[in-house]
Parts: sequence; C-alpha cells; structure tokens
Amino acid sequence: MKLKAAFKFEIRDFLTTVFSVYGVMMLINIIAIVVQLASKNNFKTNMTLNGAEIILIVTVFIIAAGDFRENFQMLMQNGVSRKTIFISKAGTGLMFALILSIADRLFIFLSRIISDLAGVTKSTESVWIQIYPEFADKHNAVWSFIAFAAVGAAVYICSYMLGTVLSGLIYRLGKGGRTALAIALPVTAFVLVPLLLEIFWETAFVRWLIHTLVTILGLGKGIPYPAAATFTVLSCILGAASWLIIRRAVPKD
Amino acid sequence: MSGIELRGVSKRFKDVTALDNVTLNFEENKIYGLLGRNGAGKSTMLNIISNRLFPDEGEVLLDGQPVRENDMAQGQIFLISEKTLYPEKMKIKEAFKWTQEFYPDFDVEKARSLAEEFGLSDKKKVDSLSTGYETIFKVILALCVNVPYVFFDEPVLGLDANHRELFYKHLLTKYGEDPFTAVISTHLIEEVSNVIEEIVIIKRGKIIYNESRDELLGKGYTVSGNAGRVDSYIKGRDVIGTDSLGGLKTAYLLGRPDRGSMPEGLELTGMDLQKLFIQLTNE
Amino acid sequence: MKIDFEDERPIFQQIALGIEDAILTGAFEEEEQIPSITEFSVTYKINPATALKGINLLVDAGVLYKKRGVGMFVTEGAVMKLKEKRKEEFYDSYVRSLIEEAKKLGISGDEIIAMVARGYER
Repeated sequence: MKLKAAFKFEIRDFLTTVFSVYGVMMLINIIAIVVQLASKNNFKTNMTLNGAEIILIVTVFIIAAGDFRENFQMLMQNGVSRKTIFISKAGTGLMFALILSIADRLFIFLSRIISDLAGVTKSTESVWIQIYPEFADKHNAVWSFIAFAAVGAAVYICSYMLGTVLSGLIYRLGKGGRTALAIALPVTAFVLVPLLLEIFWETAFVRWLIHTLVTILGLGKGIPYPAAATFTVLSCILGAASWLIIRRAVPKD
Repeated sequence: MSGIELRGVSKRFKDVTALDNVTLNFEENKIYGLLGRNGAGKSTMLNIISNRLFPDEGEVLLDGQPVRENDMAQGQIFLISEKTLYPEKMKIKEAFKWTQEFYPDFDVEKARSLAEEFGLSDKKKVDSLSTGYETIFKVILALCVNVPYVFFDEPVLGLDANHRELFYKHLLTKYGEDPFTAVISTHLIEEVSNVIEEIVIIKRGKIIYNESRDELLGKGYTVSGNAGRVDSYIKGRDVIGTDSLGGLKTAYLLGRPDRGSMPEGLELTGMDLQKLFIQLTNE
Repeated sequence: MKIDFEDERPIFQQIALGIEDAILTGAFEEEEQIPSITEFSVTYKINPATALKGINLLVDAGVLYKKRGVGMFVTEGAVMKLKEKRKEEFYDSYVRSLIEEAKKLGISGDEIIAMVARGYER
C-alpha cells in the first residue's frame, strides 16, 4: 500500500547516513583517546566530544530539510496523496527519534567504556548530562537512560519537524518569498534578537522571558521532564504547520 | 458510471482560465487522443486527474469515487508528463524498483527488457539522460506500470523516428494483449490519429469535440486538381480551408463525397485531420 | 498489404480489402488462420478496434469466421466468393478510372482495346 511504500522511501538513506555520523564520531573519540595516550604528560585534554547528541540533532534537521522537494515530487509522481505523505513524514520523524535517542545513549555508554579501558578521561559527553548534571547524579543509570532518551527523542522529532517546515516553506514560496526568508531569518537571529536583548536586558520582560525558558526546560530544578514536554508540544505545533504546508503543495519545475 | 469522469471541472491560474467547466468521461479500455494547442489546458486536466493539482470547481471521479487525495483511486492512475519528478541522482534500475513499491503490478522485467530495446542503460542516473532518453525512461514506466488508466502527456516529443515507432508498437501490443485506457495528449495530430480510437479536442479550456476518430474522419474529405475545376466543385459546399500552388488547388471540405460522381480531373482523398484541427482550434 | 492513410476510404475498409487480396493471391489460404487483431494493429500502427472493424466486415460477408479461443480463419470457398464479388466491382474499381485517365491523355477507346490485347499476350 502507498503508506508503507512512502514510509520506506522517506527512510531509504537513513541507516547509511546515521551509521556514517556515528562512525565519524567514534573515529573522533578514538583519535582523542590516542592523542591522550600518546601525550607524555597524560594531560587532561579538552578534546572531548561535548554534547554528542547535538551533531545528530543537526543531522536529522539536515535530512528533513534536504529531502523535502525530492521526496515530495517522487511521491506525487507515484500517486501518493498529501495526507499519506504527511503521515509518512510524521512516522519517519518518530522513527528517527526513537532509534536515535536510544542509539545515542548506547554510543555514549560505549565510548565511556572504551575510554575507561584505555585509562583516559572520557572522550564523549552527553549534552543532557552537561545540562542536567544533578539529575544524572541523583538517579540510577537506568532511569537516566530513559529520561535522557525521552528528552532526546522529543528534541529529535522537533528538529525533524523544523527541517520539514523550513524546507516546505522554501519549496512553496516563490522567488520573492524565498529571498525575503533568506534575508529575514539571519537578520532576525543575528541582528534583531541580540539588539532587542541588549536594549531590554534589564527589563522585567526579559527577566520573565529567561524565567520562562528556565522553567520549561527544567533548568531551575535541574530535571529534563519539562524540556521533554516542551519539545513534544513544539513538535506538535511544527507538525501541524508542516501539514498546512503540504496539503496545498504542488509539483514544481 | 465506470471510467474516469470529470464533472464541471474548472481551474484558473491568476487571470487565465485553464479549464472551463469541463465535463468528460474516459471509458475503460480505449485509446484516447487528447488534442489541443499549446496552452489549451491538456496538461492541467491531466494534473488534476492525477491529484497533482486541485480544481477550483468540479470534481473527478473514478468508478464513482473522488480521485482527489485518494490513494486507492490514484493507485489505478499513472501520469507521465514533461516534468521528470524522479530524484536526479537515482539510477534507472532503482527507479523501476521504487515504482514497483508504489505500483505493485509494475513489471520490472519488462521494464528492463524495454530499456535494452530502446538503448537505455539502466545503470544511468536520471539527471544524466538526454531529453530524448528522459522521455523514453518515462514512457517505459508508463508501458510497464499495468494500471487501468495511463496518461501520456506528449510522449513522443524529442523521440527520433525509430523510437517513436517502437513506442507505438509496444503501446498497441500491450493494449492488444491486456487492454487498458490510454490517453495520449499531444499536438502532433497526424501521427497519433491512427492509433487512437476516441478524440477529445480542447480549446482554451473548453471541450469542443468529443467523439470517435472514425466519426471525425468521416466528417469530411479533400479534393485537389485544377484550380478552376476545384472552385466550381466547392461552390455551395462546406469548405474549411484551401491551399493553392500555382494552378493546382486543394480544398478541404466537410460532408460526404459522392465517390461515383466526382467530376473529371479532381482527385479525391480523405479528410485531413490536421487541417480540420487547425480550423477548429483557430481563433 | 499497404494502408494509404491519405485515401478517402476509411482504414478499416482498406484492411478488409487487403485481407481479401491476400486471400485471392493465396497468401492466406482457406481454412487457415490469419494474423491476430493485435498483430494487424501493431504492424500497421492502427487502433485494434479499427482492425477489428475491418475483419468483422469480412466475417459478415462470410469470408472469415472466428474459432473461439483460437482466432480468425478463412472460410472454405472464400476465394470463389471473393472472385464473384470482385468481378462485379471490376468495372467501377478499374475500368472507370482507366477510361478517365485515358480521356485525360487523349487515348481513344480503340487504342485501349489494343493495349489490353497486348497486355494479355505477355
């Protein structure tokens, strides 16, 4: 049936891409360990892969963003409805999220073992442990695994949906819209926002903003659950946005 | 009603009306010619039937069910158009394999053998094909997909004479062995006129003719000969056009000739479909 | 057998005539199977329905018959039948246009008769 075929098509390069990325990261790990071992003073090196998951979050974003046009057109040619296209994309995002969030934990576990065996400081660190260090200390390994996998999964889906929405927008917008987007996005991110923050830094609004951010990410209490919830909600919103973008999309030249 | 039915389909692009209240039926197991000038609305119609575009008004039904956003219905429809929507870096043989995923009745073996016959290497990537071979690739897909309704949007543009012959040969062979509905949309009338059974002529988004090809051909005839004799013959008759070359004149007429009583010196030949088409679709 | 797409006569009629010719020259023999509709359509690049129409003309005339599940066959005695029919049509099909062309060229009736005699001697 079309849904199964569409899903299969969306994930066609997934395994190879992901394997490559993990492969490269492991390579970096090994290089870091080798460097440490080779250095005479056995100095504590800063060469750690900090926040390993970030790399994969970006990878997922790129996969989602890069494939939109190609996948959409292929599916249109092969008689797949936009409804089914959307469902297959959502399913793909979920699948990526589940697999990667677990794979991450395993990867970090594995690199830690290797570093320990080599007798050096750990060469890879999970971004979640860096953000929520007290949580990792307070809870046992199994619970940390589950909790960090959950927040990782939520962020992955969010990243996937964000990639889909952005590339979908770029696909649907005409030349004018795309130029506008190309200017507006960086300008907002690198000029407007810092400017506004600088001007209003001392104000109550910004303080409220920071407070809200801290709360929803659970930074204040040092727990990852609010972040998981937040990114899940964000994913749903982005998912809805991607449906709105897909439902009226047409094949283009 | 079985078949694909268009009911009051209209589509506008900015201030251009591409389709204007089109009502039409494509029956099972017939070869149709969808004829019209460039920009008449042929491609728009095919894109709406295959769910690539949405109509502004009206609907398209397959065996009574709307085809819009309908996976089941679209599983019985396949369109090849001038746009190649397969990924650029995909190899031809992969493309065949994927098409089979979406259309389980797709015959990969036949596709491979057709590729060989046409001289298309299936190891090539989609973007490395010349225009002609890109068309051949799509034509092969359409000939192997094995669904009840296959739409060919300008299938022979860019094909050399040999490949065009191969195309018609395979189209007719498949149709003979395993009938289906083929709709060939083109502005190359003369070439397809023998292969098609039904003719639909579209002009500026409106259907102006929708009958069998034999009926259309039977509607007129051509006389040629000495200009003076031709002129006297055509007096009072329904003429759709004339050509003159010195003293030799050719007249294209509507109606039926009386074979037995043709005046001396006049040559009688069949209806010139292209001339009729030009006549019908001129502004 | 050749199809003239320019000819005023419909293609299906030409098909029928072509098959008749083949029967008369012995290319298709009595009680033998003739090519299938698909073969006709593919060879001449015409729609199968057209080929079928032409064949049906001959079925109606008793020149061909259909064997279920096998195909179309030439009926016994078809050659005789066709010869009779063609003899009747001979004047209209050939003599008339012969005379027309002769008149165009200013050839007299007697000259034609002499030409015919010469042709039969060969």
